[in-house]
Amino acid sequence: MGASQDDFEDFVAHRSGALLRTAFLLCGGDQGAAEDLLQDVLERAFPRWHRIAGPPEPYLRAALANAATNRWRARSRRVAETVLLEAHQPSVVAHDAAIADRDQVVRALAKVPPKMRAVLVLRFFDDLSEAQAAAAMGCSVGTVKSQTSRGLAALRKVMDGDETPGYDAPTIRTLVPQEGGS
Amino acid sequence: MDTHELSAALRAATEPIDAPPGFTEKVRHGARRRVLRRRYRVCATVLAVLAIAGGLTALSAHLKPEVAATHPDNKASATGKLPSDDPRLHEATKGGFAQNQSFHNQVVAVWQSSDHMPISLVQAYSGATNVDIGPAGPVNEYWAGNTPGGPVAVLLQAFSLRPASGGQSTTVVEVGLVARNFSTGELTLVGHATVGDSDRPSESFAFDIDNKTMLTMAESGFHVYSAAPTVDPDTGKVTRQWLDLPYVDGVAVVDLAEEHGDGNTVVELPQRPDATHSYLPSNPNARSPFQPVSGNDWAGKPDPRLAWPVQTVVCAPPSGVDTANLPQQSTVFDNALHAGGYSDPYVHHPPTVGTPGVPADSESHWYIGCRLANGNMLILGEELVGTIGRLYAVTADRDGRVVSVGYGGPINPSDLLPVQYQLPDGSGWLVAAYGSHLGSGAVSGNDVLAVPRDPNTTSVTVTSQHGVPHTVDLPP
Repeated sequence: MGASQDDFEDFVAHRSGALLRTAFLLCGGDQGAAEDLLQDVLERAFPRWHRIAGPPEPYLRAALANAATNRWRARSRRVAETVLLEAHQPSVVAHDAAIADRDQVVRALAKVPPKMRAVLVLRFFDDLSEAQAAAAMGCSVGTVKSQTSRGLAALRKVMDGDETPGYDAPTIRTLVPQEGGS
Repeated sequence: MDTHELSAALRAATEPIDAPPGFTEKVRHGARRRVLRRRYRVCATVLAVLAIAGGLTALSAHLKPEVAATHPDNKASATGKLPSDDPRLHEATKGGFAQNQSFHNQVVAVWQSSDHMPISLVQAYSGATNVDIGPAGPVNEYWAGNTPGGPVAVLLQAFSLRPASGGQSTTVVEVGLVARNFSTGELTLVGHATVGDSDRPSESFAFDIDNKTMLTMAESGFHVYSAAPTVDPDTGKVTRQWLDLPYVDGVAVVDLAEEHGDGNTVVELPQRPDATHSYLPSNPNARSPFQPVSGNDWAGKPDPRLAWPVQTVVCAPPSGVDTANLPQQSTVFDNALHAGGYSDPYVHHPPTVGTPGVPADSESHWYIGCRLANGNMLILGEELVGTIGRLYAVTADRDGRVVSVGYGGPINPSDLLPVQYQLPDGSGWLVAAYGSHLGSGAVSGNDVLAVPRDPNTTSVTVTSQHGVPHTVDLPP
């Protein structure tokens, strides 16, 4: 196992950053969750490292996508904070419109259902073909096509200002003291 | 935005992301822990098989454990190879229906018509994405009999996985349970596992309404179970009672409903835990909970057991809110509940998936932060214990140190005003009703309200999402 272990550690040291970026998108922009997800996938891959046929990176990206879509099964206590008050505060004026766009894309991606999001990430971030994405996700090419089409539509809808890709709009919740309250 | 722009935006958004310092070391340690854990399980499995085999075979194997443990076809090694053979594949059927040929034919037909090889397993153990799967031997009915959930059968079969591109094939043994689907009455494969695969569901199956009947195989390695947590009605502290799994003929059948539990609350362990066990966020040796049964019509929707499907809600107290500290509030709340024994260390909130209006992948955790007059922070939240959401309030000082944990009792999500908590400094009430409008007047969209202490304020007007106002009296 020595050589295999060295190879594994070398891979983790050099490719974790790239894989973390995929995980970051798969987790809807939650970097903490992405780190947990990647660590979990890498740890699971270690015992079978020498059995992975071909370059390990595509295999791990597929594993990340599958793990991300099944992430709800995990019993993690991590809670990604969502400060709904933000919507009630004056909107932040971004100094750099490009940065605002980037954030908007990630936020929009977070609102897309996990499987749809995974397909979008595999197709347009990892540059997988439809067939490759289907193999990675363990589904048919037709499913990838439909998920891609619906995912893009949902993404555009959110980015056009409709916060809900086909869902009911969330209510902004704020605490309002009664008149005369302390 | 076209797909090229999307690709560019995604790359730009992730540009600053990089692995944190020490990440490689964390992965290395975690990977080694998993290998050690797998080895431990393999040893436990081998010993269990030896114990069951009995007689001269067991004695012989016991006298030469190194032979049994190193045989390439009979162990799940640290490299991830799974057992390709299992004595149970060849044993005569046990249980009350062992001689029932008609039932045997039915369950074998169900098994053979079921898709019981998860693609993830195929990928994981072959290293390929396209794999040819085929039986590597006949199906064996290991156990068949009646249970509180109806007639069931345990079946095993070896399967061969061969990469479509060629290469060496891998043989794995699948074990599964065929039982009646409680909603259709049809026999169906309700659960399956790969023998020796510690990364996936173990040899324990739940079925019947709410998964209230459980069948566990002796080879699972589990020896004790706890059907459900118990909550002290006064303090809100959570405990569990542990019982031995009653193995007979290689299986243990338990009616969880008899102990007020079901598949969503049960936990199985290899051994009785210490009374003072600490919180284990991912207890590697625990089996819990079972996945919701397919009959749950709320799967993928807001969890009806919780009063609030939104992940996190933080509200400004009258004096304003310290938004910079909001993440710490939820951490303080969680840690206080775990450290104080107010949460179940084995079963956590099921997250909500695809909930309308809720970010995907979010969990049903919500918090209301409120600054008290003395400067302390009150953090109100809901903890799902068993199948009931319960209200807890953690008071922490300015540095985040926990001052006290209060218990607000069970929450009924169908109540008009399910969240009602009297502030500890006597300054009033915090009340909440997801999706409703609270208070009188023209202000709308507010479903959390601070009600100052005032002899004249004895009720709250709750306007439901349908626009119907109701008056709810506050407790005296």
